[in-house]
Amino acid sequence: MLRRIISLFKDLFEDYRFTVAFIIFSFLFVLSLLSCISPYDPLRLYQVPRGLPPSLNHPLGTNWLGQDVFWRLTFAVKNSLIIAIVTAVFSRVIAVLLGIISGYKGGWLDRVLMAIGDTTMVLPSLIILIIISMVLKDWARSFFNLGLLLAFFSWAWDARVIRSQVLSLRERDFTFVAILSGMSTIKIVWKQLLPHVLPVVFTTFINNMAWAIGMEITLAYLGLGIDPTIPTIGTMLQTAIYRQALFLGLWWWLATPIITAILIFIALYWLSVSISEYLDPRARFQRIGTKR
Amino acid sequence: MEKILIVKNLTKIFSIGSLIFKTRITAVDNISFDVKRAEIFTLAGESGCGKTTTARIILGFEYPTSGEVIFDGKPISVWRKKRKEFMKRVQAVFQNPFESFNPLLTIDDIFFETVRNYRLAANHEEARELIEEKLKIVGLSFSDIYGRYPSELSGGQLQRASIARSLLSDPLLLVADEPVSMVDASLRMSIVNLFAQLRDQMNMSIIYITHDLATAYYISDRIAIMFRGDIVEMGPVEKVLIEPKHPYTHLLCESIPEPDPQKRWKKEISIVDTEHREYLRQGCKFAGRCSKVMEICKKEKPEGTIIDGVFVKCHLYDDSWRK
Repeated sequence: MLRRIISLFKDLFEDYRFTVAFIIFSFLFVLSLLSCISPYDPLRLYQVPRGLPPSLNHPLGTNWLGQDVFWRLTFAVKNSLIIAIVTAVFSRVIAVLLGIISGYKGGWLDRVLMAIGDTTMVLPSLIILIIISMVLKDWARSFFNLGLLLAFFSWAWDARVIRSQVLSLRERDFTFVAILSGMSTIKIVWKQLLPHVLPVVFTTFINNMAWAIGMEITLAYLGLGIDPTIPTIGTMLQTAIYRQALFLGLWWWLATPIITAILIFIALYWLSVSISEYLDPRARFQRIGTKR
Repeated sequence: MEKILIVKNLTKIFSIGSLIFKTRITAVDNISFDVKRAEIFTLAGESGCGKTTTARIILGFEYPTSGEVIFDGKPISVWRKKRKEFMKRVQAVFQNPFESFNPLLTIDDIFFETVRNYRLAANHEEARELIEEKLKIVGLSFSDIYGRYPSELSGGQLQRASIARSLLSDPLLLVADEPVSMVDASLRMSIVNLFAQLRDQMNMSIIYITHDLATAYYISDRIAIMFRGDIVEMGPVEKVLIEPKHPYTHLLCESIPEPDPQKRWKKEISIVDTEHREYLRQGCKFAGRCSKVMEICKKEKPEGTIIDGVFVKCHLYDDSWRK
């Protein structure tokens, strides 16, 4: 088992995109872990002299509110990743359940579920998210609830992808053999079909995380979603812009969340691209062919 | 002899297209036959003639549009509610051995699954013995499949494993859907012989679906020739294949190659109609290709008649329209 995992990573590291993404991601992960040993409370103001440029004591400088930007960033990365993971987990659960049910059962149930999915797909999600987070301002302030809200708008595409896979899997002979061997429907889905669907679930999980982080930034920029005093990448950016960071000449205050967001997007995008390419056997053959 | 399976006026219609532009294809058109205990019954015909659809209806994977399938005295709609008991008595072998096993699971997994679900053994040891015994029938051993993935075995081994799995629950009826078409010639004979052995020693009834008339002639007791969803000729295999009555059966028998280098095929066989148009044809569906076609063939569907123990559906043998 261990050897298989090692050889898997060896194959993956041959792709420079995976290597870069992996390095960025482990860096961000360490950053978010560092938040546990932060010397400053992320919510309190005026703990350090304000407006200091980057130095040894304050690696990314301090902002106009007397907060250390580096230690604030550690909380921001952690919180943004939590939102992203909550969204991705919930939307994956919904997508896998509904995708498999509608693909395997078919008939009117399939039509009803896919009609619901199509409806959420064509809804202008940004506008509705803005309206909901305005109306339910207090409710949408917790990470968990915001994650749920974002999950509701992102399951439909992937449910369709999973459904189409299940549709073709259930017509394959081994599914019929499983029926002939007396397996119950739930067991067939769990044991025979789910392993085939997992690669898709995995890659869409990463894509969904990127989408959720982007959405959180968008909402925070508009002053919605998470409480602006709680650091996330979105609220850091919003505070910096709102407090005229550029006008005050505090470029490090504004640049930190922007560069972090760019790094996260690049890392997530390259992760999903390289992994889905690795999982696609045709692309793998191509890679082997071009190696020599 | 006891009839284990009775198929009565079975019809299956597939609708293709949307609500407005709908074509209805009659994949199985009002067929009736029965399978007796300890008998090999062959369904033969070219590809796309409804053999597999018939098999899938018998197995309960597909709902018939109309008609009845009665297995062991009870209609299939009753059996469907007791699916597990039904599947224990009716098993199937499919055409493609590489598709019959889940590529992500080991082969022994589905064997143990079958044993566990049908409670065929009290414990793991007994299960192993049972699996070993069934694998021995097909000439494999437990170590051949234990912990192996389907990609590690050859097609012939997989097909034999697939047959062994279907034998685990000692079924009354085995539906073999082109079981030898993807197996090489040397194995083909041993699998076909295995079916004969199952019939003789275990009193198993087998529905053998094939397009290969040579093996059909070799093992089956009775044969039904299907064409475009219809059974055109049915009877004891010696009578049907040695003295074919229906022009389509003639055509089929002529196209069996003979091991004689001097012998040439008599004529070029051209397919005049597309499959789709043949399915939608009025009257006899073979009329477009038939060498003995008459006016009536293009207008009316022939009724079945029984001539010297053989059921034939052709206007040539049915005199009622002449009057």
